[in-house]
Amino acid sequence: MASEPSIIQCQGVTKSYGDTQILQDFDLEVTAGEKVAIIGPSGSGKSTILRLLMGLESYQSGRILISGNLLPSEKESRSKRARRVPVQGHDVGLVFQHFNLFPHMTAIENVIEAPIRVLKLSPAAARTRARDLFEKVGLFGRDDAYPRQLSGGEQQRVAIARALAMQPKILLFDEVTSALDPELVGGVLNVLRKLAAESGVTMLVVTHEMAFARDVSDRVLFMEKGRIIEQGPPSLIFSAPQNERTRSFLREILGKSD
Amino acid sequence: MTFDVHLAVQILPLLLRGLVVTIEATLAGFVCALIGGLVLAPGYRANSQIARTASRGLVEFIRNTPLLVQLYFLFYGLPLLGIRFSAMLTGVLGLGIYYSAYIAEVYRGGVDAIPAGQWDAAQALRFSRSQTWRRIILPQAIPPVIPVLGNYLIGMFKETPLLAMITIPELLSAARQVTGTTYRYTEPYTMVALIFLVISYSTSLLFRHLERRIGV
Repeated sequence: MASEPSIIQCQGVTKSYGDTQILQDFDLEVTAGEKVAIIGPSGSGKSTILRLLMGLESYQSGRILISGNLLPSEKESRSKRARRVPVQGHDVGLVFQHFNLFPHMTAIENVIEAPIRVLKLSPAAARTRARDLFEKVGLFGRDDAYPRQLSGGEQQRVAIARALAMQPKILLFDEVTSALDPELVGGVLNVLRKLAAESGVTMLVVTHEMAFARDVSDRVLFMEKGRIIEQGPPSLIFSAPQNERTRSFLREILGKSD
Repeated sequence: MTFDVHLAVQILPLLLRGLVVTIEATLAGFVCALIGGLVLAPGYRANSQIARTASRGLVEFIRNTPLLVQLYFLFYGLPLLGIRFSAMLTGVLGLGIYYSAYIAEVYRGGVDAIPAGQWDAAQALRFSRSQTWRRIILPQAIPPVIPVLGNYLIGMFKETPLLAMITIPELLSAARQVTGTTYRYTEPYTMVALIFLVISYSTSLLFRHLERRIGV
Protein backbone atom coordinates (compact mmCIF):
# COMPACT_ATOMS: atom_id res chain seq x y z
CA MET A 1 0.00 0.00 0.00
CA ALA A 2 2.91 2.35 0.62
CA SER A 3 3.92 2.21 -3.03
CA GLU A 4 0.36 2.67 -4.21
CA PRO A 5 -0.29 6.42 -4.38
CA SER A 6 -3.51 7.51 -2.73
CA ILE A 7 -6.19 8.67 -5.14
CA ILE A 8 -7.67 10.88 -2.43
CA GLN A 9 -5.58 12.70 0.14
CA CYS A 10 -7.07 15.04 2.73
CA GLN A 11 -4.56 16.61 5.08
CA GLY A 12 -5.63 18.74 8.03
CA VAL A 13 -8.74 19.96 6.24
CA THR A 14 -10.94 22.44 8.05
CA LYS A 15 -14.31 23.71 6.94
CA SER A 16 -16.73 25.99 8.70
CA TYR A 17 -19.87 27.90 7.88
CA GLY A 18 -19.58 31.15 9.80
CA ASP A 19 -19.00 30.14 13.40
CA THR A 20 -20.03 26.54 12.90
CA GLN A 21 -17.07 24.25 12.55
CA ILE A 22 -17.98 21.38 10.21
CA LEU A 23 -14.63 19.66 9.71
CA GLN A 24 -11.64 20.00 12.00
CA ASP A 25 -8.20 18.84 11.08
CA PHE A 26 -9.63 16.16 8.87
CA ASP A 27 -7.23 13.55 7.47
CA LEU A 28 -8.14 10.84 4.98
CA GLU A 29 -6.23 8.72 2.50
CA VAL A 30 -8.06 6.50 0.04
CA THR A 31 -6.32 4.18 -2.40
CA ALA A 32 -7.57 3.63 -5.93
CA GLY A 33 -10.39 1.09 -6.07
CA GLU A 34 -11.04 1.18 -2.35
CA LYS A 35 -14.65 1.16 -1.10
CA VAL A 36 -15.05 3.31 1.95
CA ALA A 37 -18.24 3.64 3.99
CA ILE A 38 -18.67 6.74 6.13
CA ILE A 39 -21.07 6.43 9.04
CA GLY A 40 -21.93 8.65 11.96
CA PRO A 41 -24.66 10.83 13.42
CA SER A 42 -26.19 13.56 11.26
CA GLY A 43 -24.29 16.82 11.35
CA SER A 44 -20.97 15.02 11.77
CA GLY A 45 -19.62 16.41 8.48
CA LYS A 46 -20.03 13.25 6.37
CA SER A 47 -21.80 14.91 3.47
CA THR A 48 -19.51 17.92 3.63
CA ILE A 49 -16.51 15.75 2.82
CA LEU A 50 -18.23 14.53 -0.32
CA ARG A 51 -19.14 18.08 -1.34
CA LEU A 52 -15.54 19.19 -0.84
CA LEU A 53 -14.19 16.27 -2.88
CA MET A 54 -16.71 17.07 -5.62
CA GLY A 55 -15.57 20.68 -5.64
CA LEU A 56 -19.05 21.97 -4.82
CA GLU A 57 -17.63 23.83 -1.86
CA SER A 58 -14.21 25.00 -0.84
CA TYR A 59 -12.35 24.46 2.42
CA GLN A 60 -10.54 26.97 4.60
CA SER A 61 -7.25 25.28 5.37
CA GLY A 62 -5.33 22.06 4.86
CA ARG A 63 -4.93 20.32 1.54
CA ILE A 64 -7.10 18.08 -0.62
CA LEU A 65 -5.46 16.20 -3.46
CA ILE A 66 -7.28 14.06 -5.98
CA SER A 67 -5.03 11.92 -8.18
CA GLY A 68 -2.25 14.23 -7.02
CA ASN A 69 -4.05 17.41 -8.16
CA LEU A 70 -4.67 20.02 -5.51
CA LEU A 71 -8.24 21.26 -5.12
CA PRO A 72 -8.06 24.99 -4.50
CA SER A 73 -8.97 26.07 -0.99
CA GLU A 74 -11.11 29.13 -0.37
CA LYS A 75 -8.10 31.44 -0.31
CA GLU A 76 -6.56 29.94 -3.42
CA SER A 77 -9.72 30.32 -5.45
CA ARG A 78 -9.76 33.93 -4.13
CA SER A 79 -13.41 34.64 -4.60
CA LYS A 80 -15.44 34.20 -1.45
CA ARG A 81 -18.21 32.61 -3.45
CA ALA A 82 -15.95 29.85 -4.70
CA ARG A 83 -18.75 27.35 -4.66
CA ARG A 84 -18.10 26.47 -8.25
CA VAL A 85 -14.53 25.32 -8.28
CA PRO A 86 -13.55 24.48 -11.83
CA VAL A 87 -11.25 21.52 -11.85
CA GLN A 88 -9.74 20.20 -15.03
CA GLY A 89 -9.96 16.46 -15.50
CA HIS A 90 -11.55 16.09 -12.11
CA ASP A 91 -12.69 12.50 -12.38
CA VAL A 92 -15.16 12.53 -9.54
CA GLY A 93 -18.87 11.84 -9.67
CA LEU A 94 -21.51 12.37 -7.01
CA VAL A 95 -24.90 10.77 -6.50
CA PHE A 96 -27.15 12.96 -4.39
CA GLN A 97 -29.59 12.13 -1.64
CA HIS A 98 -32.38 13.89 -3.52
CA PHE A 99 -31.31 12.63 -6.98
CA ASN A 100 -31.21 16.15 -8.48
CA LEU A 101 -32.29 14.91 -11.87
CA PHE A 102 -32.98 17.58 -14.47
CA PRO A 103 -36.80 17.72 -14.51
CA HIS A 104 -37.05 19.11 -18.06
CA MET A 105 -35.21 16.12 -19.54
CA THR A 106 -36.25 12.51 -19.94
CA ALA A 107 -34.39 9.73 -18.14
CA ILE A 108 -32.11 9.05 -21.06
CA GLU A 109 -31.56 12.75 -21.78
CA ASN A 110 -30.44 13.18 -18.19
CA VAL A 111 -27.79 10.54 -18.77
CA ILE A 112 -26.56 11.53 -22.23
CA GLU A 113 -26.45 15.30 -21.80
CA ALA A 114 -23.09 15.52 -20.03
CA PRO A 115 -21.32 12.86 -22.11
CA ILE A 116 -22.39 14.71 -25.27
CA ARG A 117 -21.66 18.25 -24.09
CA VAL A 118 -18.70 17.67 -21.80
CA LEU A 119 -17.02 14.51 -23.08
CA LYS A 120 -18.00 15.34 -26.69
CA LEU A 121 -19.38 11.87 -27.30
CA SER A 122 -21.59 11.43 -30.36
CA PRO A 123 -25.30 11.26 -29.46
CA ALA A 124 -25.44 7.68 -30.75
CA ALA A 125 -22.48 6.58 -28.62
CA ALA A 126 -23.91 8.38 -25.60
CA ARG A 127 -27.26 6.63 -26.07
CA THR A 128 -25.62 3.24 -26.33
CA ARG A 129 -23.68 3.97 -23.17
CA ALA A 130 -26.83 5.13 -21.41
CA ARG A 131 -28.81 2.01 -22.39
CA ASP A 132 -25.99 -0.24 -21.13
CA LEU A 133 -25.99 1.66 -17.87
CA PHE A 134 -29.78 1.47 -17.51
CA GLU A 135 -29.48 -2.27 -17.85
CA LYS A 136 -26.75 -2.28 -15.24
CA VAL A 137 -28.80 -0.29 -12.74
CA GLY A 138 -31.96 -2.27 -13.49
CA LEU A 139 -34.04 0.38 -15.22
CA PHE A 140 -36.08 -1.05 -18.05
CA GLY A 141 -38.40 0.63 -20.54
CA ARG A 142 -38.29 4.00 -18.82
CA ASP A 143 -35.86 5.77 -21.19
CA ASP A 144 -38.34 8.41 -22.28
CA ALA A 145 -40.07 9.00 -18.96
CA TYR A 146 -39.61 12.31 -17.22
CA PRO A 147 -38.31 12.31 -13.65
CA ARG A 148 -41.74 13.23 -12.24
CA GLN A 149 -43.15 10.07 -13.83
CA LEU A 150 -40.58 7.86 -12.10
CA SER A 151 -40.62 6.39 -8.61
CA GLY A 152 -37.93 7.48 -6.18
CA GLY A 153 -36.08 4.24 -6.73
CA GLU A 154 -36.18 4.67 -10.50
CA GLN A 155 -35.04 8.28 -10.21
CA GLN A 156 -32.08 7.27 -8.12
CA ARG A 157 -31.16 4.56 -10.64
CA VAL A 158 -31.19 7.21 -13.38
CA ALA A 159 -29.00 9.43 -11.19
CA ILE A 160 -26.53 6.58 -10.65
CA ALA A 161 -26.44 5.90 -14.39
CA ARG A 162 -25.95 9.62 -15.02
CA ALA A 163 -22.93 9.71 -12.73
CA LEU A 164 -21.51 6.49 -14.21
CA ALA A 165 -21.89 7.79 -17.76
CA MET A 166 -19.07 10.24 -17.08
CA GLN A 167 -16.83 7.26 -16.23
CA PRO A 168 -15.40 8.78 -13.06
CA LYS A 169 -12.50 7.19 -11.20
CA ILE A 170 -14.09 8.17 -7.91
CA LEU A 171 -17.79 7.90 -7.16
CA LEU A 172 -19.31 9.56 -4.12
CA PHE A 173 -22.69 8.50 -2.74
CA ASP A 174 -24.41 10.89 -0.39
CA GLU A 175 -27.08 9.01 1.60
CA VAL A 176 -28.57 7.85 -1.66
CA THR A 177 -31.35 5.82 -0.06
CA SER A 178 -32.39 8.28 2.66
CA ALA A 179 -35.05 9.95 0.53
CA LEU A 180 -36.57 6.66 -0.68
CA ASP A 181 -39.66 4.87 0.53
CA PRO A 182 -38.59 1.88 2.64
CA GLU A 183 -39.68 -0.71 0.08
CA LEU A 184 -37.46 0.90 -2.59
CA VAL A 185 -34.26 1.03 -0.51
CA GLY A 186 -33.23 -2.59 -1.03
CA GLY A 187 -33.28 -2.38 -4.83
CA VAL A 188 -31.05 0.66 -4.98
CA LEU A 189 -28.66 -0.81 -2.42
CA ASN A 190 -28.36 -3.91 -4.59
CA VAL A 191 -27.33 -1.70 -7.50
CA LEU A 192 -24.56 -0.27 -5.34
CA ARG A 193 -23.55 -3.71 -4.08
CA LYS A 194 -23.19 -4.92 -7.64
CA LEU A 195 -21.26 -1.83 -8.61
CA ALA A 196 -18.88 -2.25 -5.68
CA ALA A 197 -18.32 -5.89 -6.49
CA GLU A 198 -17.90 -5.57 -10.24
CA SER A 199 -16.19 -2.25 -10.89
CA GLY A 200 -12.78 -0.94 -10.01
CA VAL A 201 -14.12 2.51 -9.26
CA THR A 202 -13.15 4.09 -5.96
CA MET A 203 -16.29 4.52 -3.85
CA LEU A 204 -17.01 6.72 -0.87
CA VAL A 205 -20.42 5.96 0.53
CA VAL A 206 -22.09 8.02 3.21
CA THR A 207 -24.89 5.86 4.58
CA HIS A 208 -27.16 5.04 7.47
CA GLU A 209 -27.61 1.46 6.23
CA MET A 210 -25.25 -0.46 8.47
CA ALA A 211 -25.74 -3.89 6.90
CA PHE A 212 -24.96 -2.36 3.54
CA ALA A 213 -21.85 -0.58 4.88
CA ARG A 214 -20.66 -3.87 6.31
CA ASP A 215 -21.23 -5.75 3.05
CA VAL A 216 -19.72 -3.41 0.50
CA SER A 217 -16.88 -1.60 2.18
CA ASP A 218 -13.21 -2.37 2.61
CA ARG A 219 -13.07 0.20 5.36
CA VAL A 220 -15.56 1.98 7.57
CA LEU A 221 -15.06 5.46 8.98
CA PHE A 222 -17.03 6.53 12.01
CA MET A 223 -17.31 10.30 12.19
CA GLU A 224 -18.53 12.63 14.86
CA LYS A 225 -18.33 16.43 15.11
CA GLY A 226 -16.16 16.84 12.05
CA ARG A 227 -13.55 14.26 13.00
CA ILE A 228 -12.90 10.61 12.30
CA ILE A 229 -13.34 8.94 15.66
CA GLU A 230 -12.56 5.43 14.56
CA GLN A 231 -11.85 3.56 11.34
CA GLY A 232 -11.06 0.05 10.27
CA PRO A 233 -12.31 -2.95 8.34
CA PRO A 234 -16.06 -3.47 8.70
CA SER A 235 -15.60 -6.74 10.57
CA LEU A 236 -13.75 -4.89 13.28
CA ILE A 237 -15.88 -1.73 13.43
CA PHE A 238 -19.17 -3.61 13.60
CA SER A 239 -18.17 -6.50 15.85
CA ALA A 240 -15.55 -4.98 18.09
CA PRO A 241 -15.60 -1.15 18.01
CA GLN A 242 -12.86 0.25 20.20
CA ASN A 243 -14.29 3.66 20.87
CA GLU A 244 -17.16 4.16 23.28
CA ARG A 245 -18.82 6.71 20.98
CA THR A 246 -18.77 4.26 18.07
CA ARG A 247 -20.29 1.62 20.35
CA SER A 248 -23.12 3.84 21.51
CA PHE A 249 -23.83 5.05 17.96
CA LEU A 250 -24.00 1.49 16.63
CA ARG A 251 -26.09 0.34 19.57
CA GLU A 252 -28.59 3.07 18.93
CA ILE A 253 -28.81 2.71 15.15
CA LEU A 254 -28.79 -1.09 15.07
CA GLY A 255 -31.29 -1.25 17.90
CA LYS A 256 -33.57 0.98 15.88
CA SER A 257 -33.35 -0.95 12.65
CA ASP A 258 -33.97 -4.37 14.16
CA MET B 1 -69.86 66.98 -28.87
CA THR B 2 -70.94 64.19 -31.16
CA PHE B 3 -69.00 61.17 -32.29
CA ASP B 4 -68.66 61.18 -36.09
CA VAL B 5 -68.67 57.51 -37.03
CA HIS B 6 -68.04 58.37 -40.64
CA LEU B 7 -64.87 60.26 -39.72
CA ALA B 8 -63.75 57.44 -37.43
CA VAL B 9 -63.99 54.98 -40.29
CA GLN B 10 -62.33 57.40 -42.65
CA ILE B 11 -59.23 57.88 -40.50
CA LEU B 12 -58.91 54.20 -39.70
CA PRO B 13 -56.44 53.36 -42.53
CA LEU B 14 -54.17 56.20 -41.41
CA LEU B 15 -54.30 55.03 -37.80
CA LEU B 16 -53.64 51.46 -38.81
CA ARG B 17 -50.50 52.58 -40.61
CA GLY B 18 -49.39 54.12 -37.30
CA LEU B 19 -50.37 50.90 -35.57
CA VAL B 20 -48.02 48.93 -37.81
CA VAL B 21 -45.14 51.11 -36.66
CA THR B 22 -46.25 50.72 -33.03
CA ILE B 23 -46.33 46.95 -33.34
CA GLU B 24 -42.97 46.84 -35.09
CA ALA B 25 -41.39 48.97 -32.38
CA THR B 26 -43.00 46.86 -29.65
CA LEU B 27 -41.91 43.54 -31.06
CA ALA B 28 -38.38 44.69 -31.88
CA GLY B 29 -38.09 46.39 -28.49
CA PHE B 30 -39.36 43.28 -26.73
CA VAL B 31 -36.86 41.04 -28.48
CA CYS B 32 -34.11 43.47 -27.42
CA ALA B 33 -35.43 43.38 -23.87
CA LEU B 34 -35.61 39.56 -23.77
CA ILE B 35 -32.01 39.35 -24.94
CA GLY B 36 -30.84 42.24 -22.76
CA GLY B 37 -32.41 40.53 -19.75
CA LEU B 38 -30.54 37.34 -20.60
CA VAL B 39 -27.31 39.30 -20.59
CA LEU B 40 -28.04 41.07 -17.31
CA ALA B 41 -29.59 38.24 -15.28
CA PRO B 42 -26.56 35.87 -15.14
CA GLY B 43 -24.54 38.90 -14.01
CA TYR B 44 -26.34 38.68 -10.66
CA ARG B 45 -24.74 35.30 -10.04
CA ALA B 46 -21.39 35.90 -11.68
CA ASN B 47 -18.31 34.82 -9.76
CA SER B 48 -16.72 38.22 -10.13
CA GLN B 49 -17.83 40.89 -7.69
CA ILE B 50 -17.31 43.53 -10.39
CA ALA B 51 -19.73 41.80 -12.77
CA ARG B 52 -22.31 41.47 -9.99
CA THR B 53 -22.04 45.11 -8.96
CA ALA B 54 -22.08 46.28 -12.58
CA SER B 55 -25.25 44.39 -13.50
CA ARG B 56 -26.99 45.46 -10.29
CA GLY B 57 -25.96 49.09 -10.79
CA LEU B 58 -27.06 49.14 -14.40
CA VAL B 59 -30.44 47.64 -13.58
CA GLU B 60 -31.04 50.11 -10.75
CA PHE B 61 -30.02 53.04 -12.96
CA ILE B 62 -32.35 52.00 -15.75
CA ARG B 63 -35.28 51.27 -13.46
CA ASN B 64 -34.99 54.48 -11.52
CA THR B 65 -35.02 56.98 -14.37
CA PRO B 66 -38.11 57.68 -16.51
CA LEU B 67 -38.34 56.01 -19.89
CA LEU B 68 -39.10 59.32 -21.58
CA VAL B 69 -35.92 60.85 -20.17
CA GLN B 70 -33.93 57.86 -21.41
CA LEU B 71 -35.50 58.19 -24.85
CA TYR B 72 -34.63 61.90 -24.99
CA PHE B 73 -31.14 61.11 -23.80
CA LEU B 74 -30.65 58.56 -26.55
CA PHE B 75 -32.32 60.67 -29.21
CA TYR B 76 -30.63 64.00 -28.46
CA GLY B 77 -27.59 62.87 -26.48
CA LEU B 78 -26.10 60.15 -28.66
CA PRO B 79 -25.71 62.34 -31.77
CA LEU B 80 -23.58 64.68 -29.64
CA LEU B 81 -21.30 61.72 -29.04
CA GLY B 82 -21.16 61.14 -32.77
CA ILE B 83 -23.55 58.16 -32.69
CA ARG B 84 -26.37 58.59 -35.16
CA PHE B 85 -29.24 56.12 -35.22
CA SER B 86 -32.58 56.51 -36.97
CA ALA B 87 -35.45 57.57 -34.73
CA MET B 88 -36.94 54.08 -35.02
CA LEU B 89 -33.73 52.32 -34.02
CA THR B 90 -33.26 54.74 -31.13
CA GLY B 91 -36.81 54.08 -29.98
CA VAL B 92 -36.43 50.33 -30.21
CA LEU B 93 -33.14 50.47 -28.30
CA GLY B 94 -34.67 52.77 -25.70
CA LEU B 95 -37.63 50.44 -25.09
CA GLY B 96 -35.36 47.40 -25.20
CA ILE B 97 -32.85 48.73 -22.67
CA TYR B 98 -35.53 50.02 -20.32
CA TYR B 99 -37.48 46.77 -20.28
CA SER B 100 -34.38 44.56 -20.19
CA ALA B 101 -33.82 45.85 -16.66
CA TYR B 102 -37.30 44.68 -15.63
CA ILE B 103 -37.05 41.45 -17.53
CA ALA B 104 -33.67 40.69 -15.95
CA GLU B 105 -35.50 40.82 -12.61
CA VAL B 106 -38.17 38.47 -13.94
CA TYR B 107 -35.54 35.99 -15.10
CA ARG B 108 -33.80 36.35 -11.74
CA GLY B 109 -37.02 35.38 -9.97
CA GLY B 110 -37.27 32.32 -12.20
CA VAL B 111 -33.63 31.43 -11.62
CA ASP B 112 -33.86 31.88 -7.86
CA ALA B 113 -36.70 29.36 -7.83
CA ILE B 114 -34.40 26.64 -9.21
CA PRO B 115 -33.25 24.39 -6.35
CA ALA B 116 -29.53 24.55 -5.46
CA GLY B 117 -29.36 20.83 -6.24
CA GLN B 118 -29.69 21.60 -9.95
CA TRP B 119 -26.55 23.75 -9.85
CA ASP B 120 -24.78 21.06 -7.82
CA ALA B 121 -25.77 18.34 -10.27
CA ALA B 122 -24.66 20.44 -13.24
CA GLN B 123 -21.31 21.05 -11.63
CA ALA B 124 -20.89 17.43 -10.61
CA LEU B 125 -21.32 16.54 -14.29
CA ARG B 126 -18.65 19.14 -15.17
CA PHE B 127 -20.87 21.35 -17.29
CA SER B 128 -19.26 24.71 -17.96
CA ARG B 129 -20.83 27.84 -16.58
CA SER B 130 -22.47 28.72 -19.89
CA GLN B 131 -23.64 25.14 -20.52
CA THR B 132 -25.22 25.16 -17.07
CA TRP B 133 -27.13 28.33 -17.89
CA ARG B 134 -28.15 27.30 -21.39
CA ARG B 135 -28.97 23.64 -20.88
CA ILE B 136 -30.00 23.31 -17.25
CA ILE B 137 -31.05 26.57 -15.61
CA LEU B 138 -32.79 28.69 -18.25
CA PRO B 139 -34.92 25.89 -19.74
CA GLN B 140 -36.37 25.44 -16.24
CA ALA B 141 -36.43 29.09 -15.22
CA ILE B 142 -38.12 30.65 -18.23
CA PRO B 143 -41.39 28.69 -18.80
CA PRO B 144 -42.82 29.62 -15.37
CA VAL B 145 -42.17 33.32 -15.98
CA ILE B 146 -43.73 33.47 -19.47
CA PRO B 147 -47.00 34.96 -18.10
CA VAL B 148 -45.03 37.73 -16.41
CA LEU B 149 -43.10 38.34 -19.61
CA GLY B 150 -46.47 38.64 -21.35
CA ASN B 151 -47.48 41.38 -18.92
CA TYR B 152 -44.31 43.28 -19.76
CA LEU B 153 -44.97 42.87 -23.47
CA ILE B 154 -48.40 44.46 -23.02
CA GLY B 155 -46.89 47.09 -20.73
CA MET B 156 -44.33 47.98 -23.36
CA PHE B 157 -46.99 48.13 -26.05
CA LYS B 158 -48.89 50.67 -24.00
CA GLU B 159 -45.75 52.78 -23.45
CA THR B 160 -45.07 53.16 -27.17
CA PRO B 161 -46.96 56.50 -27.48
CA LEU B 162 -43.86 57.95 -25.82
CA LEU B 163 -42.08 57.22 -29.10
CA ALA B 164 -44.15 60.02 -30.65
CA MET B 165 -41.95 62.38 -28.64
CA ILE B 166 -38.93 61.33 -30.65
CA THR B 167 -40.68 61.74 -34.01
CA ILE B 168 -41.57 58.10 -34.62
CA PRO B 169 -44.79 57.95 -36.70
CA GLU B 170 -46.55 55.44 -34.48
CA LEU B 171 -50.23 55.24 -33.61
CA LEU B 172 -50.45 58.33 -31.40
CA SER B 173 -48.51 60.38 -33.95
CA ALA B 174 -50.96 59.30 -36.60
CA ALA B 175 -53.86 60.40 -34.40
CA ARG B 176 -52.22 63.75 -33.74
CA GLN B 177 -51.79 64.18 -37.44
CA VAL B 178 -55.51 63.68 -37.87
CA THR B 179 -56.31 66.24 -35.17
CA GLY B 180 -53.97 68.69 -36.90
CA THR B 181 -55.90 68.54 -40.14
CA THR B 182 -59.48 67.97 -38.97
CA TYR B 183 -59.49 69.74 -35.57
CA ARG B 184 -61.45 66.75 -34.30
CA TYR B 185 -60.14 65.15 -31.14
CA THR B 186 -62.81 62.74 -29.96
CA GLU B 187 -62.73 60.39 -32.91
CA PRO B 188 -58.98 59.91 -33.34
CA TYR B 189 -58.22 59.50 -29.62
CA THR B 190 -61.21 57.26 -29.05
CA MET B 191 -60.06 55.10 -31.91
CA VAL B 192 -56.52 55.02 -30.53
CA ALA B 193 -57.84 53.93 -27.14
CA LEU B 194 -60.00 51.24 -28.74
CA ILE B 195 -57.13 49.92 -30.83
CA PHE B 196 -54.87 49.70 -27.77
CA LEU B 197 -57.65 47.99 -25.83
CA VAL B 198 -58.35 45.39 -28.50
CA ILE B 199 -54.70 44.48 -29.01
CA SER B 200 -53.69 44.51 -25.33
CA TYR B 201 -56.68 42.47 -24.30
CA SER B 202 -56.31 39.87 -27.04
CA THR B 203 -52.59 39.56 -26.24
CA SER B 204 -53.40 38.97 -22.60
CA LEU B 205 -55.90 36.28 -23.62
CA LEU B 206 -53.21 34.69 -25.76
CA PHE B 207 -50.81 34.58 -22.82
CA ARG B 208 -53.50 33.20 -20.54
CA HIS B 209 -54.01 30.42 -23.05
CA LEU B 210 -50.24 29.84 -23.22
CA GLU B 211 -50.10 29.77 -19.44
CA ARG B 212 -52.64 26.95 -19.35
CA ARG B 213 -50.81 25.10 -22.10
CA ILE B 214 -47.47 25.07 -20.25
CA GLY B 215 -49.28 24.40 -16.99
CA VAL B 216 -47.84 27.00 -14.65
